[in-house]
Amino acid sequence: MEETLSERSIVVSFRPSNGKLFDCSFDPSQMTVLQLKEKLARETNIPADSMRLVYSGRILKDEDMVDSYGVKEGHTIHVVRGAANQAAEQAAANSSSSGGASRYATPSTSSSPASSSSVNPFSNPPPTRQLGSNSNNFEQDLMRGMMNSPMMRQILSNPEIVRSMVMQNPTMRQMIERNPEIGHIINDPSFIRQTMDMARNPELMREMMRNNDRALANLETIPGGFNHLRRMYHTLQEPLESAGRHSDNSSEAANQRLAQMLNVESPPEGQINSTPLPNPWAPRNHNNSGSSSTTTGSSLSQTNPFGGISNFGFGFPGSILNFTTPPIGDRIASTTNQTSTSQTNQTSQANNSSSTPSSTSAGVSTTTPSFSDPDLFRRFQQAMQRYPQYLSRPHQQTFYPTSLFGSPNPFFMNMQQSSFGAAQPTTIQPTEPPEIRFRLQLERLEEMGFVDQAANIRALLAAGGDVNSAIEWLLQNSNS
Amino acid sequence: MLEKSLLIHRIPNNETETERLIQEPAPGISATPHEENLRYFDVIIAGPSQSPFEGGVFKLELFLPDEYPMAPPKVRFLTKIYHPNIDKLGRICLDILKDKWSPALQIRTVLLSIQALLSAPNPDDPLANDVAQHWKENEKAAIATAREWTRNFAQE
Amino acid sequence: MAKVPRNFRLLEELEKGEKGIGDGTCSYGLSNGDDIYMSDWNGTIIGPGHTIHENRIYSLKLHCDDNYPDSPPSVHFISRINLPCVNQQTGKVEPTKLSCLANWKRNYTLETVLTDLRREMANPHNKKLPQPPEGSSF
Repeated sequence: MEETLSERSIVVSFRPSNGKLFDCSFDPSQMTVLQLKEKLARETNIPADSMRLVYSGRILKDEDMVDSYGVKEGHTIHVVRGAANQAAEQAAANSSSSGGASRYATPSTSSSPASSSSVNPFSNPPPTRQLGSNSNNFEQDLMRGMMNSPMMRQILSNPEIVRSMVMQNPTMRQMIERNPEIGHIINDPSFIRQTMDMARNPELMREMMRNNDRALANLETIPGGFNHLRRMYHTLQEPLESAGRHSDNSSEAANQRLAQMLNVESPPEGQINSTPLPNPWAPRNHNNSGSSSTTTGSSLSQTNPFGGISNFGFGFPGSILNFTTPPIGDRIASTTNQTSTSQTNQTSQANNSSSTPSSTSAGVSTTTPSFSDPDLFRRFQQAMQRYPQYLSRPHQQTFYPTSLFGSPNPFFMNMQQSSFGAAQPTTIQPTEPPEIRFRLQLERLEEMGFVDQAANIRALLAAGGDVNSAIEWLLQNSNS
Repeated sequence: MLEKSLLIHRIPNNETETERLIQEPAPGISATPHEENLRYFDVIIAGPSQSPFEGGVFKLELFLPDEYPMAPPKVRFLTKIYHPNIDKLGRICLDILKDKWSPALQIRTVLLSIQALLSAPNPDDPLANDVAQHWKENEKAAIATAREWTRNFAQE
Repeated sequence: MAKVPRNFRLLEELEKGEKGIGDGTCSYGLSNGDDIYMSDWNGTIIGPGHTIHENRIYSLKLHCDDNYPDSPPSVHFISRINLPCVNQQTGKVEPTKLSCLANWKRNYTLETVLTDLRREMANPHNKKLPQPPEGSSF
């Protein structure tokens, strides 16, 4: 025991139910539970009077000394927001209970300077700061402030306004007319809100993964959607997720590569990347001339605030795909967990950058150990077969977020096609070269007149061995 | 009633170790495997003389996990004992049961080490924090409490 | 696989509980810190979001007899709760009505029981059941 604060002070972990684990050092023999709560209130933005602490199956009572509960070095105390403060609750609910969002969004306790400095969310930021990558923090704060401003929240919680924003975009309108169910998603304000929360904060994304069940429940508002999601979640996501929990790093790496591919500047060391990915709706020439200038700042400076907003809300297909959050990742996406997503990214990455097939398969098999468990994979597959309608033609404009955004970018199409099939090569003899693994498929492709074997292999790898998807891939790639 | 040697029971995979236990009995220590689980032992350690635990008979339980001998056996006191390195649930703070474990160590050496720990409490490396505090602040009083506990809980 | 004896199994569970499991929606620990046979446990379940239980913390007690983990623990709610598997007079979780208790396996833990109960609260049939006021006890 070191004599730092007090001879007996210990380090205890605290886990807020909707935030990040943090450590705190204190002397449990010198502190009442209430004092501890006051100390924690500063860390969590949960007021002490609506905070409840749970340790080892007990709710800690304010007047007790902390050490009467036997808390020891390295133990964890759970921090729960109680219902005491109804107003704060309401606000937290508005922010759709998404991960750490309530930390930012509780108006009564929020101490974020950003929210006060950005009273008018639509005011133009100084032009000099719009484009520089150094302004990441600034943009993030601005964005956060804007999203948390009451006005913005009101706008976003009004489905009518959100819908009109969306309907402004002809591509979106078409999409919705064709798929009424997408309209329901757009009518769900929490969906919009989450989209933006997550688009600007990858940390939050991970948080969301952790709070999956809660987030999924948000989709309840979609008629008929909830039960479906729940079933998918229990059959697929839960086992997959538990098997692939350790894959955080690899998916992060994959995300970074994807960001690079999409021409997005890589985030500065040790910072969160708040730069949005290019807008897939933007006309090609616009994209080419200034994909990097389609930043938060410039969107903000547009005269039509809704134009800017719709960019925020829907201009991030890349990040949405990367993180595969359940509420956005609708039925199909909810079946892919982080692992398969990272694998998807990697596969498509490899294809697009024309790296060798063997390196692709190696990458897949090392980063996705969960798929090397044949039993797990078999269950995954069985479950997949039970939902054939979502899988049969993934490139049709059905439900995948990318198609939701009507992306013309073949890159995303590849991602769709490979998202499920990509698992296959790893389960069938990952050591076999693709020429042997895909012998039958290659024969078929050749029969159909695709004679470039190297391209065929790449296509099959991207499609996970599915000949039809491979053909799509080949056709698209020969066009571009 | 103290056994002078470890009882002879054969455990698959532990045959040589068990045989060595027979040839070199450890005084004041006995370990009896459960019939239905040969990896699970009832252990008795006699309180060493010249210690506050003298005259006490301490029951422990010992379990050889799957990883044994690559991982240490799990041992715990079942008899209440007032000792700075043994907590309220009988868990023992002893380096060879944690990071200093070596596969060369055996059940016998583990039990001998525990017996030695009774003779030489180490309040600077405590597990039971308040007992260690007591021991440091007033060793005499702490030893008296340990004696009392030995009388109250460790004698038949 | 060596069969982990009851006490060492419960020690493992205790240590896991102290370090905090998962996202903290379920928590458990010994009722009495010097209960050498570790028979009586407290548990808490944080009500699942978007159900009537949201923002409530439910307290339970669990008892592990000598046969644990070969046989399941007995489980009682302390906080009053309206759930089909909970006896409304006593708060006891009816072993026949909770799947993990009815089909108990040796590798199930106290955590299994608590998370199963929490799932039961979020079950579409149960999540809107009217509930007694928060803070009332059986």
